[in-house]
Amino acid sequence: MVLSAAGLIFALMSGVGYYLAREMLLKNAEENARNQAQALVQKIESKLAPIPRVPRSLAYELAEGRLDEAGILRRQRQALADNDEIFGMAVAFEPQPGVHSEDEPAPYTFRTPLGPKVSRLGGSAYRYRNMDWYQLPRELRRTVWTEPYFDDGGGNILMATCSVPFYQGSGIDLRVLGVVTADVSLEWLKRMVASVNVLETGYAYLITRTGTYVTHPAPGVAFNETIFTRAEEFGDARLRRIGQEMIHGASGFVATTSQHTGKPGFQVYAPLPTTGWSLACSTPRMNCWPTWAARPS
Amino acid sequence: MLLGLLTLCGLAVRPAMAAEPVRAALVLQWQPQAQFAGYYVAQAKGFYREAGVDLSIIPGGPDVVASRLLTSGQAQFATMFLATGIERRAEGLPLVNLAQLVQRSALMLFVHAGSNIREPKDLDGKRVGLWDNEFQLQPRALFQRLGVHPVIVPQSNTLSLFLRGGVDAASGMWYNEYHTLLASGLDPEELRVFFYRDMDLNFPEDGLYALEKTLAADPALCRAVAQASLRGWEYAFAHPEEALDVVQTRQREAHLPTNRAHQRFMLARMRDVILGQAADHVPPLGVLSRADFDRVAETLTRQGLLHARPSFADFYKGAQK
Repeated sequence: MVLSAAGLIFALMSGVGYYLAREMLLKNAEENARNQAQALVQKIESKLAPIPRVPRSLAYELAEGRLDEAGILRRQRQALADNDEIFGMAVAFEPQPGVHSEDEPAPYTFRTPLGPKVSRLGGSAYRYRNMDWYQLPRELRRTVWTEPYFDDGGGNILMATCSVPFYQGSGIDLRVLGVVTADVSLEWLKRMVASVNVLETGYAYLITRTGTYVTHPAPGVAFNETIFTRAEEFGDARLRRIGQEMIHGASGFVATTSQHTGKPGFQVYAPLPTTGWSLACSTPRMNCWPTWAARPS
Repeated sequence: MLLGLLTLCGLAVRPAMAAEPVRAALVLQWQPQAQFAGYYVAQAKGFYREAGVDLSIIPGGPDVVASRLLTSGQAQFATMFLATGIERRAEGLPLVNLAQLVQRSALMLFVHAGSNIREPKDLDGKRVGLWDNEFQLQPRALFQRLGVHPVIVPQSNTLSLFLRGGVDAASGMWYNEYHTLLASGLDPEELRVFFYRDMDLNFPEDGLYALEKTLAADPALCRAVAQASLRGWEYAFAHPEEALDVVQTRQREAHLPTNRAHQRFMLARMRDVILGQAADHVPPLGVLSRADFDRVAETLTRQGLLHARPSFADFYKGAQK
């Protein structure tokens, strides 16, 4: 009987010890995952955050009417020379009778292997006034980042555009005079996120404000699916809720099963404040207590 | 009598065993997607070929104007909205409707559920995103009827302005933009929707068209293409997963983004707007009703878009009820 009691106490203590160790490992795993995600967010933000300053600086000069076309082209070339992340810059003026016509082409300076080149955006094949890069900042009257896209004319590079309106007046008399844009290549971002090894076997992915995958380890997912269509296809209500949290700028750490690996695990997610996109890191549960696989039976 | 019946059958279906198949082209209203599943399925399953037609399909897009391709002879058949077909006919392009597919208008307006727009009359003074051309017909008719004056904002091919709060209401098709919003993270209860078909503005949409001279020169060709197209739609609705495989293959060939969930939703809604839902009373597949034609023509006239209304008999050459 004494032996039975001792055995019972030993079993109880082992159980408590197991539970505490498991909780500690879980807490460590969460902290590690959050730290990894945050480190990646900061690395990405360090490249994206300075970009809006460049079109904003040109927008201020244009608002004050200090630049003619030659001056605009000079500023655009200088911006490209000073900022490796910027692929091209455009300036599009709002129609103004006698000054700027409805179909006026927008000067666009962009990188080529032979140096900066100028083209004119516009014409019947490129009606930009209803395109997001023009219409969003014009109507919202604030700096916006467009959804990422592939630039067909630029070698199929993954890009996004940071668009800044410039104005005259203020309050109810505020009048938008035009838009300045900076096209940013995101190839570095794609490579950075794709190469992430979260606790050795996990992966990272990036979604936009509408939940569109910019990167994803599964082939055919990026730019075809949103996190919500993927949730719909798999009947995964939890993934839909995670997606909604992400697009609303929340951070989180949740237990979930990865549809990509099929394994239960965790997802940590955090917003990218500059663009409104969101980064997530997914890790299988086994990595959280690696000694568990070797635990004696 | 038997001879007459055989002659009729000979006219009704172009015999495939005769000569080489006739080559023809069909231009669609937009890029490959489940909105056009019936045509792609008919092509993939060989229904056009069986009917003696070697039909190629020209995808639509922002720079593809169907009437121009018909006039130039690059295409012999085209799909377009009923309103567009009537307008073009009235402008002098001798179009004829060979089959009416979409019987229930899928055009809608959506607002955020939290907004103070609870019914269409609350749109007065509000910012409303509208697409161009035929997509403005029902909205303008509605605004005129209600006596409201929204601020019209040209709508692009994305919903970003609506999602970012730049407009109070936006336009969309039930089978496309509505699901795009759900696929962007909005739940159905976060949206309030207004269907034009529920506001006495049910304008049938996609139909199959040709020029009068094409029909006059080869009525058997026109009947063959119309019947094979309807057969394609019937097959697509009966075999939705197979139809989606066909559509997504076309999309990938065109390097367009595609996902199954969105195309599946689109095909299911196309079934609803083509065949109708339980409570709807829609004409049989492919039939254009005189009442629908008159309603659309009347609205076009009141909007000042039609100065000479085409006759129904001259316009519609498809099957009778």
